[in-house]
Amino acid sequence: MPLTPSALVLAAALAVSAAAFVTLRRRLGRPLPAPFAEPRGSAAAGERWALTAAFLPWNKESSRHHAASYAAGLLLHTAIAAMVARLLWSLTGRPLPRPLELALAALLATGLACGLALFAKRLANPALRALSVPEDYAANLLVGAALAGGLAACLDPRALPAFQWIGAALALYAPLGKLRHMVFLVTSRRFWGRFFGRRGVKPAPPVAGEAPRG
Amino acid sequence: MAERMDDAARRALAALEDRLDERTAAYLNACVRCGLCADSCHVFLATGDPETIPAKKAERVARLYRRYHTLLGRIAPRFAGAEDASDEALDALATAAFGRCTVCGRCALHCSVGLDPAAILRFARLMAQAAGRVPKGIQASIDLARATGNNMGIAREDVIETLSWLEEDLRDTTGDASIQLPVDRPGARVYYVLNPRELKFFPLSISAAGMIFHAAGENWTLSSTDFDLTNYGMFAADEAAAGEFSGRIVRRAEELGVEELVVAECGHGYRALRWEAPEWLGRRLPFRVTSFVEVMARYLAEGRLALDPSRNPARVTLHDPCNLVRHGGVIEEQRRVLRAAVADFVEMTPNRLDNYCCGGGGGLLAASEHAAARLEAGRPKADQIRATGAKVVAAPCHNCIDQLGEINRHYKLGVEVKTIAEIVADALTTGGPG
Amino acid sequence: MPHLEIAGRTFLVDEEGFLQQPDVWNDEVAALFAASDGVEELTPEHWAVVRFIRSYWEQSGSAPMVRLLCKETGVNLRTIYKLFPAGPAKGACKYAGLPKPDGCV
Ligand code: SF4
Ligand code: SF4
Repeated sequence: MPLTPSALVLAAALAVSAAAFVTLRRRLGRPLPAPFAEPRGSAAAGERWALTAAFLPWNKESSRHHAASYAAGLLLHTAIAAMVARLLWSLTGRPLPRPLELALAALLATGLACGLALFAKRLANPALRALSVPEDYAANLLVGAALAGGLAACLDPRALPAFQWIGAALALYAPLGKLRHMVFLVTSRRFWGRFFGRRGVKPAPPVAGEAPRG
Repeated sequence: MAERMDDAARRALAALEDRLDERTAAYLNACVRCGLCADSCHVFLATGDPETIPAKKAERVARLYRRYHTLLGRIAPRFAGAEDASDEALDALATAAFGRCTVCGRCALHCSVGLDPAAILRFARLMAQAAGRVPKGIQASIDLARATGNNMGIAREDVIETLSWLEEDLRDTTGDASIQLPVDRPGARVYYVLNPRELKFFPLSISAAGMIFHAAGENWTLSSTDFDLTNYGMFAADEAAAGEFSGRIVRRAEELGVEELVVAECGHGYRALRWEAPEWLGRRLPFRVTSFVEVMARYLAEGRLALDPSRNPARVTLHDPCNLVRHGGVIEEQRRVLRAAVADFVEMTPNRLDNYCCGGGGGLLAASEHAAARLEAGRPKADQIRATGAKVVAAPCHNCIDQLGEINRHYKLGVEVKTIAEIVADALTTGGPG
Repeated sequence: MPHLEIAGRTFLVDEEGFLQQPDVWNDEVAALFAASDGVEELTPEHWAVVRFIRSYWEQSGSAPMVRLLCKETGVNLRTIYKLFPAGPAKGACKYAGLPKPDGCV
């Protein structure tokens, strides 16, 4: 049962995609040498902060000032994670309990709506339109299609092969364009956190004349 | 296919190929062009011009990166937002990096993805530098510092004469004949380095530092050579020049055998010596590097300075220099010093890590071709200052002070701009030790 | 290169308003530049500073150290900043018709 053509292609696409990401990360650029300057804060603490508290909406002006966009982005990405999980699960060939499918469908529908809202914002906001490149719209639509496919598959098992075909396309496309941020977001946050952590900028700075914190 | 490409483009692309580090590359690959960083940038706030959105400026590098380093950018450049390294592309890159960005790093703290657009813009400067597109004034300051040892071409005799003239003036005005501005003193614990503009045009900040060191009973020295803390090599992303300039001071400090190198109030100079010099020179430094702001805070905490805040009755606000705060981690010290030194201290909004750049950072003050844009980009800072109702703006950075002085006149703020040392010196109640 | 128009006269200046035609400079030009910068009245002290900067620059090609300025003109250091609110570089040197000095000014 799992060995449908669409499932096979999906599995292959996922493997190719993973290999592409590993290659991209390896060839990223000149490795950073270990720094010589005496640290003021902790690189490790900065990294932890960047991967945790930095996501809290009040910790960045971008989320404070743009609460709606931030919420939409968060919902979209939660839905994408669920969609990918659903896609992976589809490879087992086993159905999910009905209530779970329905909950998932609700989440995917919400994420899809958020994705379309962000698409509309990109088109409507002049500054954002000026910043955008064609691929921004295409990647948004491709993800939207995958969410729609997942939604359909949750509601009706007959849509599963279509969902897998779209999923395979998404997996193959992801390393090529902006969707690579799914990996490089984490890489970036780690570098960012180590940089600002070391300099005593984040999470919280020590003060001269006071005992240095651990 | 053999492409014809001029030398500038080839050099810029060689820099992209050889010098791009994995951190900056990760940032280039992580931006999703969500645009949420736009209003974190004072230049965008001042102009509303989409070209000044941090990510849009960073795109000047990203477009070339995609064109020459990604599959999609090679096969479908228009679709991917990739671009050839044409003259226009390189000009736009240089204008974005040198004229519309002060590399202040405010966007870095607010990017939704968590990347650092300022790091990409620093790399943009590196590429522009490789392509021979450093603004004239920045290059002239580099050349002068190379040729003469400091960025204003001040001769050694002039340093010595200025300091002895200042010392005399200091003794006259304080009535304390024991006060000194020691020069080239062996065995000193602290080596204090200056911005040449202090010696040439604005020496009262040196006198103030002298009074504070004297009151704290510090064993310190100035130097008649290798005293220039500025580093226009850093602004130009010219690492050879940057390493040369900081290397001079490091060697001089080693010669003098000091324990601590204290950097006068200057954001980029502090960053260059404290954080970048060890990396440029490829070694740890055998002495501590601190900002004079940290030193004053330490003296206060150790009870070595007696201050009477009522001597500074006017309302004072504080400008946080980007390189000291966001790139240096010196955040609370300046406020603790000011609270002890003035009667009425008010914060700007926002402040600390979230302060807006004055608009003159990143070497922009020396880039005359962008002077009009620089003044315009100072508007958010002007609005911040006006909102505090302060009469005095304390700015622990000579570069900021010059820009703040200009926006003070341009936006008719009617404030006085001072270093923190000058404010502290005015509040000193102890003339000297014991 | 930009132009600066003051009182019906046009000057070639750099982007920060520093005169780019050394030969057209004279007392009248100095007064015009000062006035356009908000320094309406030039006192004998103003003139002593501006003239010394000018002649020093004509001889050496650079702006004098503020120490020399005080010593040669007899004007007190703190007074210089009152006379020229834009400072010795962006004020006095500009009115003296010098190009912009290098460095953080
Ligand atoms: S906020 Fe970050 S990810 Fe979004 S456009 Fe700006 S730099 Fe790119
Ligand atoms: S570093 Fe500062 S000036 Fe440059 S884009 Fe970011 S916020 Fe704007």
